[in-house]
Amino acid sequence: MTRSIAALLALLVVATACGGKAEPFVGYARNPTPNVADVALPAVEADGSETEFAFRAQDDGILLVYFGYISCPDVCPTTLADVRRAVGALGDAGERTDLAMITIDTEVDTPEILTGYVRSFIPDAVAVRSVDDDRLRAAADAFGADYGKEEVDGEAKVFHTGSLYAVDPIGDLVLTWPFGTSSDDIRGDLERLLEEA
Amino acid sequence: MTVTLAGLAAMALVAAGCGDTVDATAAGDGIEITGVWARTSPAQASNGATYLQITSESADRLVSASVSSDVAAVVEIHETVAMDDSAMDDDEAMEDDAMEDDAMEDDAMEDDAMEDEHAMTMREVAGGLVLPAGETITLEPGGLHLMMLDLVSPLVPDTSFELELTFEVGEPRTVTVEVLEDAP
Repeated sequence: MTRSIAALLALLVVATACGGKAEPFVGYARNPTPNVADVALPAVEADGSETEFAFRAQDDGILLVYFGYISCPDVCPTTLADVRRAVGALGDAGERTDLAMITIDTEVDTPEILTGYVRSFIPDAVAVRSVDDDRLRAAADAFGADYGKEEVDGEAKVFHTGSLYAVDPIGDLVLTWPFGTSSDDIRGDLERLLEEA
Repeated sequence: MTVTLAGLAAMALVAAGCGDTVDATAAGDGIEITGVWARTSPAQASNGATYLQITSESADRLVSASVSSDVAAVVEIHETVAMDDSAMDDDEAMEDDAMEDDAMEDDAMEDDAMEDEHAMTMREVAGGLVLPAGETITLEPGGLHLMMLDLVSPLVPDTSFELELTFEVGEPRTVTVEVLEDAP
């Protein structure tokens, strides 16, 4: 009974966006904390123009990073829709959260469709596209992500790590959410990260 | 207008915490299909996915699924799976093994982390989807799904389309797929 009341109170606290400091994060932190501040890849605009994008959050913010591809019908839109919901539920604090999606399928994902796709979830999201696979691979390694294509029965099968990453302003990869983490759990973790940022 | 009302009704049901969608169909031949929905697709996405639950009273198999050619070209029964060592090429598999071994010697957290970071891929469910008697098979994000290839136009919220399901034993069934931004 006490536990139920405590659970209800915890829910209320979360619902009123006050955070619950004693709760552990749902995402996991790695030990030692990877730092991706030195990782930079081209951010593209629809017209194909590029600027170097460094993987660091804005001051007092959190940068969410996702490796995916557009013809992915299941896990990518699931996670990106969860991000949209989580960031939306943060209210004003959501302004301090940015999203960068890195395509792992540069042949298909042109700057135009990549920017349109990711910004349909988060309007000011950063679309990252490196046609230099060595640079893309190095960036993925820094995050502990994997991706690739392999031929199975003559069909190119794309694989990629489905995790979502949170990076702070100094480039520390502070939290990783495995695929399947609910938008509510992502939102809860983000609230705490933003409080601490 | 009809679509809007149906959409509102569906939203009301979801808001009220009722898991079933309005198109839940009780079957005449012992196959029950519920919770049918497809996620909205951005204009740039060529593929989409439909999710549902199927329960067949007697053993059966979902052989194929199709939609009108003005929705998508092809529907395939797919499964998202974690890449295991056997699915990777030899080099990758060896590297992965080495990493797993290292992780095991470290603390449990790191081991979990390695487990979580297995890459994911999709494969077609060869020979159709087995429906054991009386068991509910759930098609949901990150697992089984009906992949719709070459969408003709984006899937937009609160619209719907028809999906035909063909079974090895049971009669073919047409269900209405509600397009939603998030899982119901």
